[in-house]
Amino acid sequence: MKRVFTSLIAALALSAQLASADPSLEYQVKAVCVLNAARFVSWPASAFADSDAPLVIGILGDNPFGSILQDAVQGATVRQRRIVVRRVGLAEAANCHIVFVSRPERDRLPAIFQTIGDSSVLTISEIDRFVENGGTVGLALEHGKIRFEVKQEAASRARLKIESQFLLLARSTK
Amino acid sequence: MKMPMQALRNLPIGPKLTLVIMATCVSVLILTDVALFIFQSATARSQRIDEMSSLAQIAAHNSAAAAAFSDRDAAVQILSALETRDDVEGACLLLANGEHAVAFDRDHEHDAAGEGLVSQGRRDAKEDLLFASAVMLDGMQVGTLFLRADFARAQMALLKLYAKTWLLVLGVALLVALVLAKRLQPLITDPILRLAQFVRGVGEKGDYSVHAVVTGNDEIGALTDAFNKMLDQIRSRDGALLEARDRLEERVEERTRELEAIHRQLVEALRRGGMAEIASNVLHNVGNVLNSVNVSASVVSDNLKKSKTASLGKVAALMQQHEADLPTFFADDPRGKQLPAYVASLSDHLMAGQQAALSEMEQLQGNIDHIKEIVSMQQNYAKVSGLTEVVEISALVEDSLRMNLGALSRHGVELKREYEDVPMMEVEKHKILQILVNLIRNAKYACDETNEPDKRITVRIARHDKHIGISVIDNGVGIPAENLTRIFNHGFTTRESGHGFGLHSGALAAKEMGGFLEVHSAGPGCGATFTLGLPIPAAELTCAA
Repeated sequence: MKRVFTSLIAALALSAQLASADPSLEYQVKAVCVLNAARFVSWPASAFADSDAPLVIGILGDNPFGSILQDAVQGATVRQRRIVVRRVGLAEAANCHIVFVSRPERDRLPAIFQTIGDSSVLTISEIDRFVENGGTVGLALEHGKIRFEVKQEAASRARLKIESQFLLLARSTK
Repeated sequence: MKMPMQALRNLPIGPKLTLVIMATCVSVLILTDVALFIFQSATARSQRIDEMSSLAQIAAHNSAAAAAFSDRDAAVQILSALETRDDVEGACLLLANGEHAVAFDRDHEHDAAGEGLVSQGRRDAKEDLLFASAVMLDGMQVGTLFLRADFARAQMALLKLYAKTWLLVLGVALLVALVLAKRLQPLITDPILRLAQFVRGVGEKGDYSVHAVVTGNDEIGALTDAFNKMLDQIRSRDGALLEARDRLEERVEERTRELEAIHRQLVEALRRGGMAEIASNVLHNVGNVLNSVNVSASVVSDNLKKSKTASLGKVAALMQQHEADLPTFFADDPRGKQLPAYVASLSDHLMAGQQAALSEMEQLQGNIDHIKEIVSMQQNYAKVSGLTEVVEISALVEDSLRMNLGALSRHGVELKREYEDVPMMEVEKHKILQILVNLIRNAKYACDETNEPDKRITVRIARHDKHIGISVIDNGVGIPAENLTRIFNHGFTTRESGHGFGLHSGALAAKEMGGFLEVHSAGPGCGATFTLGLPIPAAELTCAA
């Protein structure tokens, strides 16, 4: 756990330099953000098969993280659950706990949300106006810093509980 | 400390009571408040520590996201809420990326990184406490929250609040206590003041027949009761005293009567004693005179024995023998020639003897007359007391001198008389005689004791304004001053054979006659003067005037 914490800090320490164009650095930070965001969200018990079931993070569309996210979750836990990262298709999306929607999927968003429906899935994306289009958490780079947008309505439809501390960081919580 | 206590004691009871109540109130209030403040500030401090710990934990919890995402702005925003609290001096969040987000720092002593805020050195400051709380996220520490609290200000504020409240409460309490004391104090003071006034009244008027009104069943009521009982006791004691006094008067009268009777008996006994004394004097004097009688008788007898009567017989026989020739005998006989001359001398001798016998017999006659006189005088004075007769004082004095004459001449005391002309007086002769005989005899004793050759007694009769004084003045041993006052006391004497009765009875007798007996002496060795004063009757006084 200590190692994770250290890696987190290491990743975040770099955030000040995000303004620069190094894409890998940006995704390192975003990977940590995804992981951290997961820690502020509670899934209903029904979302897991059993108490040992892992938390599944699905990447829908292209994987902008490369192996970064995979590395970041290596050995880490969220609420005592292992974390599994895999690329998923639209059909599998509803079975994930977190779905990261990559930028190219922008035009398929209505279909994606329709497929996911009311499933307890936390949707995260760096697509502009993601939350306005039905997503739960949007990531944006602003003045060299990662900013969150949270759509509570979407979260509650998915029976997800987002902790207030996290909401404090978010720009929009409507 | 003593002076104020004394001043307090002298204060009237009303203000004193008020003062005591107020002092008690203030003391209790001060003690209560101090205790309350100590307790409260201790409690407050521990409460503040608890509260500050909770606050740190809550802030840590709330800033978990900010720490986790290293969001300095969010951290500052979250922690700024703490700035509204007076007791939080500063707040800082150590973010996940190792940066410090200093929300605020009132001291402005610390650099932006908040190093000073979290520095260990500040932990020891007594009222400046540092609270650190781990910021946990999903079981991991993602940061640390630091709060620096300063209780001094809060403590001071509490103290000020307490002081203000206490002053207010004190003021109100004192006011209430004052009003209550003023209202309720008469409950205690009024009965006391009333009783005090009543007691003063009783003391001033001395009227013990009154009663104080009992106002209640408390101690003052009991005191009033007790006072009333005391008054009753005084009253009954007064009555008893009056009764005792009356009875005492009766007893004194009774005792006086008894004493008077005894006194009369005593006087009678003294009179008898005096008479006996006079009688012994008389016998003594008679004895002395008889001595002279005896001497005269022996002289006459001796004279007669030595008389030449026998020679005359011889002459006659010689002449009868020569009856026949008488002329021859006378002419021729040598014896006859001497005979006429012898007869002439014999005749002279016989004449002288007769003369001597006659003179001796005359003296004898005088002595016998003296005896008769002495005896008749005694008979005179032995009469029943109380009888008065008009006498010449000088004659009376002479009588008394005569009774002592023998003794005086025997002891070689010179007698001097200084008699003024005084009127005849109606007196009890035997009493005066008794006194004078006694005085003269005392004077003789006083002279005797000096062993000086020049012994003198002066008897003086002098007329004064209202009395006649008969003084017996001696140049004897004198009387010490301390004895002058008790010399007339019954039983007082300086002589071994004395009974201490003479002067005492003399003074009594003088008093009975309306006169006095007094003594004067300049001291030991200066002689003494005893004076018997006899009042001059009113008639004489006017005559003299």
